Amino acid sequence: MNPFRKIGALFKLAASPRCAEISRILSRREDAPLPWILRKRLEWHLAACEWCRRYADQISLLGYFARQFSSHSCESGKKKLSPLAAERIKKKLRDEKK
Amino acid sequence: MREMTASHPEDWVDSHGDALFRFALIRVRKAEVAEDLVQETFLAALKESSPFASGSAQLTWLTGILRHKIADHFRKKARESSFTDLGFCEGEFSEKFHNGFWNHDLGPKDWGQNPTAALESGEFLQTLDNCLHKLPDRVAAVFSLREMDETPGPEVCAMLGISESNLWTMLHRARMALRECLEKNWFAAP
Repeated sequence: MNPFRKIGALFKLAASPRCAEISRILSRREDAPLPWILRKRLEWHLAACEWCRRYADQISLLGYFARQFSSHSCESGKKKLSPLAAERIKKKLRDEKK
Repeated sequence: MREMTASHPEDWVDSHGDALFRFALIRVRKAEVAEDLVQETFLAALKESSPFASGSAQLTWLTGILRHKIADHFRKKARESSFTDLGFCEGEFSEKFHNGFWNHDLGPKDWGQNPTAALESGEFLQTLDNCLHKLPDRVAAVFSLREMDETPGPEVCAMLGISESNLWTMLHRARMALRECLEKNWFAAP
């Protein structure tokens, strides 16, 4: 490998990513364990950036919101199986049992 | 030993039909599809014969079957046409950044000390529902599999035939859009 390219790649690795890139890494963190280098970059950036700390907290809340929404909606949501569909399903179950 | 079912299968429809329908509906979003999945669930349950006579254990058991039916539904969709959606939110809110840094007037706002308290409000749940509906079908499906059902990423990729990096991109944009929508319509609503 060309040594200059190698040095360039090292610089890129060491360069601190900006918020737009950090928001991508933060989302990825919700789905998979991060490689060590990304964890470190995140740590350094979050220590200095209140906006990204806020963003991190808020997107990890989204999963909790979604799960609570799901259980709440199943237990006590307003939507119902239409009487027509309920009748159709019952008939299907009767036919199947025969 | 498994006890034979005491409740009549047709009673399942009355006691659990609505809950199962709502479970399916928030995931597949089309009432006809949700109805079909509920029907398939009951038919599959009939073959297995319920290990539970009634009540919430029975609902949990039926929900488990429904989960598989929903996964099958998504798998079938993915075979028909690609599940990858890189068109949604392609700009990733670039207007919010200046040279890659948050533009302070447009960056994330403070959601207060206790944002989870919002869940106690029916209006908030409605807002969340509206925001989820703004996501396109495939993006919403990926988000609900990952976040509502906590399906591991690699499993979602295998189910839908999408690459891991496309999954991450879709989820990143879904989160950006949802966060923004909740902020605009709830946490920092005018």
